[in-house]
Amino acid sequence: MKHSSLSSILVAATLSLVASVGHAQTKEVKFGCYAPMTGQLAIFGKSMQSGFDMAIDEFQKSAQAKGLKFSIQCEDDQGRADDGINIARKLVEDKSVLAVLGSWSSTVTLAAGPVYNEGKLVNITPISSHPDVTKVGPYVFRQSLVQSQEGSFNGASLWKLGARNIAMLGIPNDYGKANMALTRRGFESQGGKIVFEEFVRPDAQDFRQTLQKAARENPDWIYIGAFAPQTALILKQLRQMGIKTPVFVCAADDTPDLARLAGTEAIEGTHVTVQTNPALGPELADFYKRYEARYSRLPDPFAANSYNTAMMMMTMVAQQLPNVSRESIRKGLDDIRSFDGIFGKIKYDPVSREWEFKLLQGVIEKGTTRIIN
Amino acid sequence: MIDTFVLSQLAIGVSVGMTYSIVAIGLTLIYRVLSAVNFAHGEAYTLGAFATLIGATTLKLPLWVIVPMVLLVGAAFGWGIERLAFRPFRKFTDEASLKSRAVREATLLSSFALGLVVREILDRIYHGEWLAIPQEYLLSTPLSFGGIRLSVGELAIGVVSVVMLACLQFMLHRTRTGIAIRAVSSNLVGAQFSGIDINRVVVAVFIVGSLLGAVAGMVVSLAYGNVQSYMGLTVVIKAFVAMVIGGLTSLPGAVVAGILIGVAESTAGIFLPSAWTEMVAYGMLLLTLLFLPQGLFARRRA
Repeated sequence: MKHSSLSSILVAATLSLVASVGHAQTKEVKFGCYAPMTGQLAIFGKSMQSGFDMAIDEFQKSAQAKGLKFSIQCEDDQGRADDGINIARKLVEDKSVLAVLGSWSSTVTLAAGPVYNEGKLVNITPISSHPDVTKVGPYVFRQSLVQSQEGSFNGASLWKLGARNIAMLGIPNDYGKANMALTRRGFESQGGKIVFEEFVRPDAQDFRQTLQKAARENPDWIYIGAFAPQTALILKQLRQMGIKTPVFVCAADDTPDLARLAGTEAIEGTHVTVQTNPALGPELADFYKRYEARYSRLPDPFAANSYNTAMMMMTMVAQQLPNVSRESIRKGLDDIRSFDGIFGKIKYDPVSREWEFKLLQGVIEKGTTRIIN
Repeated sequence: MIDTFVLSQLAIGVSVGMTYSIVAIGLTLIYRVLSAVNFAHGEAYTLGAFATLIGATTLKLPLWVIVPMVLLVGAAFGWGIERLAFRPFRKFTDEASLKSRAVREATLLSSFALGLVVREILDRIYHGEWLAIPQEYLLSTPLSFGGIRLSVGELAIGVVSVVMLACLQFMLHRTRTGIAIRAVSSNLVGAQFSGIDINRVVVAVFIVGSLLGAVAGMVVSLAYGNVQSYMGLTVVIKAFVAMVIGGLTSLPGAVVAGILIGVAESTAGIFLPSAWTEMVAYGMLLLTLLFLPQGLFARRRA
């Protein structure tokens, strides 16, 4: 009795396995993903997943999809390098994974990138902006702005705003260090002077001591190169301390989460570098509307970038049918020269291996960013 | 010549130090009675902050309803810690085994584990994000004293620490429970012979201690405005250092030591980048253990 029920379960399991494999060969396309789904950066990992989900739903309804069924499931790297490496090892071994998207944090992408490169599995990040990401190897790609570009833009924008002496505050991770160094270089190349520079602990609650030291140097502007959770606290404490020096924040802070964490009052008048904004074009404005209708909140640049990259990857798979493989995806990403998505038509430079994104200057007013140039 | 800059830096140090003190009070109370470190105390603090957050965002309650709610959460958690992490190890009630090394080490680990479980549960539910307490609840109105800027929240942290200390001293010296707690902490066998129910006293200590921890979490979260599942961990370590420097069993000692640590950190911050000031507290701990092993405010040891 026991024996027969066990064998019938086995038969059923085998049958369903055969069925699903047969199904996969014709229809299912699986992308891997790694992103921070828990921890301090979880808000951003969730934005990525939201962007992916929306892209998949919309793409599958289009004629391009040819009946393909896509999936992108983000595994949790918690913003930690070692977790990113473990996920990478797993995804490289999982032969059903065609390519991998992620991660959010440059630290994680830089750590996991070599594993994908060695395993000859394409890893494309829609977010990580550290200059070295695309230098990891031929299988590691990116479709986002790059710190070197942001740094010189930040420097030039600060100079145009009349800043001559600035104080800089950042977080001591790969992103923060690159962002601070390249913004410093950008600003100094304009002729500006850095009167104060300090890295703060990302897990700290109280930044007032550093802020007071910064204020003592009488800077015209304060620059912050940190993620929204820390930037929010810094802005709140600046307000509370009555420091009236104008503040300029990095592009990663142009997210609705900044207003949610700091309150609209504390961030009023803060200047920010903008990569994603409905004012940038009709496609992006329309994306904002669809995203808000679907999730009842506004997208951040991370959701928009993830959406755009997922769209590009799905389009590529559909075009390469029926001969799609891990290797054909790498070749496709090498050969591509432009992509027409929500950012309009953006160009790829095969020499630098970077996509060209437009950056704009913005100012936060009543919790939303207004473009000023 | 001390300029306003230095004074402001010291004021920030005092206010940060008071967040350590306010947490150290509950920790020290439990140590005094059981000679055991309750590492789940940081989670009483975290839970107090989360109760405040839930009261302010999900339930949208006024502050005067949130306060008793936080007290209740703290008390319930204290009772839970005692039941889950301490009572199972208290199989014998003689003093030697109650304060034995084995029990101390076991409860150190069990309370640490319980704290870890609470932290992980909060992490699963809230994904470890920083969550913001709505602006209208915050005690963030700026105050200025001759160029030194502080906020109402910081004043509140100071006032609440002093009130907590005063209430605790009153309870310990003037109420039956308090006298029982003192009796148990100074002579356990004697207390037993005079008919004091040890288990009840221990439960009372945990309830009061965790309740104070939860209140600390509430006040600090209202002053700073942000709540996160790991917030208790950093603070409880600093509070532990304050307790050791303060002489392990002295409540006023722990409070003063907490403020001293805050001031030392801010003084170091004048000369060092802020990321380095984190080492100051641990450096102080090392120096205390080496040169003043009884702490700054040592009482006679039981």
